[in-house]
Amino acid sequence: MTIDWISLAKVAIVTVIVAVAIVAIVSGGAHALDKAHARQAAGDGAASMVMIGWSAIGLAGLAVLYGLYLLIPYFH
Amino acid sequence: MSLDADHTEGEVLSTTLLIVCLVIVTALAFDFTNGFHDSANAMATSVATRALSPKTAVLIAAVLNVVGASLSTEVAKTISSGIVEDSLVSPEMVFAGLAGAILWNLATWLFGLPSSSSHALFGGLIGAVIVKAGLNGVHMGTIVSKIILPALVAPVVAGGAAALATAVAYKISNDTKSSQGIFRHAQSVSASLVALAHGTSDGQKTMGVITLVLIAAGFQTAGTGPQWWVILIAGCAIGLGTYSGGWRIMRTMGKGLCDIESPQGFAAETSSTVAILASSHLGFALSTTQVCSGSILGSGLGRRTEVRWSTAGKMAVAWVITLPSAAIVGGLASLIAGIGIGGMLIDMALLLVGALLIVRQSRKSAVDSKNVNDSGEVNVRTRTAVTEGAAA
Repeated sequence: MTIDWISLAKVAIVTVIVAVAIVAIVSGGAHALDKAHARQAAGDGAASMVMIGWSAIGLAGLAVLYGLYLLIPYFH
Repeated sequence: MSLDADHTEGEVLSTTLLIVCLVIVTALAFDFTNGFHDSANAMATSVATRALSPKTAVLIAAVLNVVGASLSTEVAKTISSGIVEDSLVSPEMVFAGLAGAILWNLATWLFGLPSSSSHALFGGLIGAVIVKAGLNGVHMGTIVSKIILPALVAPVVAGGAAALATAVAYKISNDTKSSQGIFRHAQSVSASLVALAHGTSDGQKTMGVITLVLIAAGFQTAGTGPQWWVILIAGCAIGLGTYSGGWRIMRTMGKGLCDIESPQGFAAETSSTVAILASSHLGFALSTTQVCSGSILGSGLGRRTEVRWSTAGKMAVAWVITLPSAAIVGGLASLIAGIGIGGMLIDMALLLVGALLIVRQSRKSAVDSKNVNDSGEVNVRTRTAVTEGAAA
């Protein structure tokens, strides 16, 4: 019986780091957009916050594309 | 297959054809149960948080399962991935193994318990092989390294990731309407990835089984890919199964383990997606069912909400007994199938009766797309419970 402990450790570490990173990025984006809404409501400029918010969500979108790349054998 | 002196070549051919047809029909039935069993893996959290309506959720999952199933049509080299001695596996054993897996999938569905369809299939095959060839036909080491260890690891890894990710999500984001909207959309996207990943792995499994049996029977050249009609019917079977929803399991996973909010559902689905993709690309295969259940449980812990450990405990028991239970049914079916073609027909009849009885029992406390979110309990009413209920 051979157990591939190294692969096991890799899967565990990658899962925790990548999952937390993606969720943090989307949460950060949502937070930035919240701030932007609050500033707009107060009549202040919010362009930079809107940009930060949507960039974060766009980054998460790239992660989804990478996931699709991994899933579709045609690309390999 | 050697020609019997009493039988003409034509008779042998028609018997082989009948066996192959029986295997294909049971393989498709298994694919259907596989679909409705695992619908919840992808969609339970999205249905529970109402990010998607139940009907939309299963439609998306079904379409993505079919797309996933047709994306990759590389045939698996062996049916059992080395868990049993593949040279011993005959079409009759595959048939018996599938029968065991179908009955076990239906039984766990009745109780609303998510359990791994692959474990059920391996269990059924193991039982069939033990009956025919003894314990020597089973590779115990591979069972430990490919089934038992991953089953222990999957919920811990996915659950840990989901717990941390959920805690981070609640720390960073605010509970506003806009945030909730973003989380709901993000949750639907990650759930869709789980459905697609499921299609590429499980959708292909049945195609592989059918193709290997066609090759073994001499209807197809060794080393060739699945026929177009095999891809078509296997894709349809898993898609229809997924669309039918498996609402009992959906309820347990979406409502039974813990209450799920959108950020938490998003964290759980993201952890599941990452765990599934990482495990299939870094060489340590984890079961989708156990990853997804672990993520949901972990997300509950991460939000520090109440986790219903009694439900989690029942699920753990189901996981432990899946393999041996399917093995017992598979072994019995294999014994009966050993009689010959008549035995396989008896198996088929018994399987139908068993399936009908389970479906009939489920009707007494039906769970469907309309009442899936109404409670977290999946009741299996016995006759006394019904009369008590009527008296009360």
